[in-house]
Amino acid sequence: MLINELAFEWLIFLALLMTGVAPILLLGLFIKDFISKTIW
Amino acid sequence: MTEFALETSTGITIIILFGVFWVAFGYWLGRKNRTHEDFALAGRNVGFAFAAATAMATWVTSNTTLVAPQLTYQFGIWGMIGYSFAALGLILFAPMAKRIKELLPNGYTSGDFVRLRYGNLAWLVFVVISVVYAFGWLISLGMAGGILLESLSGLDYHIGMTTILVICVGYTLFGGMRAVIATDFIQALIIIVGVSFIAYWLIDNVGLDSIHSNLTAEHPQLLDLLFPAAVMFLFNNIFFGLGEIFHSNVWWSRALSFKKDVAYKAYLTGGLLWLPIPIVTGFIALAAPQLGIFPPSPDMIGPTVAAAVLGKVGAIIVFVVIFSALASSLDSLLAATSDLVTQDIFHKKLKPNASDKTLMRFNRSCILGLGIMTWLLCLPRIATLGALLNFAGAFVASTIWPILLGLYQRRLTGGYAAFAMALGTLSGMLGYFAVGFYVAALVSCAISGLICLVGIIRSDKQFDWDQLNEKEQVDANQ
Repeated sequence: MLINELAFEWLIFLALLMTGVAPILLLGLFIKDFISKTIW
Repeated sequence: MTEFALETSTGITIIILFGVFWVAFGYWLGRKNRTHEDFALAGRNVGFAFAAATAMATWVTSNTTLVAPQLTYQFGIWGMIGYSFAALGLILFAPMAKRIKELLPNGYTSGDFVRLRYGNLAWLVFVVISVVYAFGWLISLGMAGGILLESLSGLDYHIGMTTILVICVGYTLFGGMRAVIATDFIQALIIIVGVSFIAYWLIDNVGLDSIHSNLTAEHPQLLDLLFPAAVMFLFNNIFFGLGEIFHSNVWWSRALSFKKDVAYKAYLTGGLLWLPIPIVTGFIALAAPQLGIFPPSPDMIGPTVAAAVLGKVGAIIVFVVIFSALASSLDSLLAATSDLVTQDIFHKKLKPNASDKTLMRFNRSCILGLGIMTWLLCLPRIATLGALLNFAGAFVASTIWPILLGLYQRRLTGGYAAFAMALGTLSGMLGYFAVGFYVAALVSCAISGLICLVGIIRSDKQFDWDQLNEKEQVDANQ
């Protein structure tokens, strides 16, 4: 049973979207920690 | 015109720039280390941003960037989905990390826990497994560095492998855990942005529909949802990932380094951030048949495709991403393994009265010694990265149940835990050679679990959790 094209495309797009959001989230958390002086 | 994607001089320039930056950064961060606790555990006070990033970045290794495409190339979509399920290890470790912080507020290593919870015999078996695994991983990382530099820039394997080891040993030696975690944050950003860029570029230039059509016509097995060996690989990889994270001091030392209320959410976030990365890196390999790329070594499929599609820019991005992935894991492994040797063997067994200064000096010597031993073991290119990685699965999966039950179940005793880890490992190795690499972790985990179950049923003892809070007992005696 082969994965159909739509499912294949959604799988890759979703993975790419999640990966793209990650640096924004990490930088946001860093700024929050920096402001509240809780980096270390 | 060179036959490599990057000119050798460009590769060397990038390596030198990175090397100088990381070592200088490590030195700068290391100035704050006053005690051995500062050096080994960053003062037990790491905040959420760094904690989540280090959990994610350390789990992105040469295996994620080189082996995930390799497995996708061999097993199709289950290769990348199966690999992404290794995120479960980080996600399921989140509640355990919280529990570890509660049970061992003064603990240093996973070995500390096994010794206090199960006694010396189980500790010995555990240390052997940990050291075999640590060296397997260190060698795979060192080899990956050499392979990467050689395949992308033509730089000799031995020079490339030596350079990456020298850089990672350098900044870990100066900065300890603080340097490891801070560099992981930057490396995490580089990895995520780089990987996203390559995948986006590939989709834009080759097209998902085109890749799917080509695979359907020419290589349908790569899109098969019922590829038996691949489904077996999926489950094997889940247990392999659980074993790696549950037992390794790389993850325990991080849990102990994080602020108390941070450990749980950091591992959960790190796991969710990591989840899509093998799919993104693995997918790159699916374009290989269409592009007519058939690399001599399957573990170079990802970088080769990226370099072919993006040209020199792609080769530089791949170079930087994989270098960051390697460094983020190598430094962690160097720090965690040297902590294990310093704390569990040197401090607890050989020099119980060693001063803080002596421990710090010994820890640094260990980092250096580990670097040299890894270098020696990397000199001969002994196996493909995938083979090396999966062999370790037989070892680490045997520790899943003893660790998990040790944290939450009072009845399992040291004898059964030791027997479960030893027999689980041997069975896993038997499965590896008799059936294939894709069953090693499964067999190891199953046998170990069975022995633990018998141990719990037969035991009438109840472990006292307070015995894990070792430092308090010492202080009370004083």
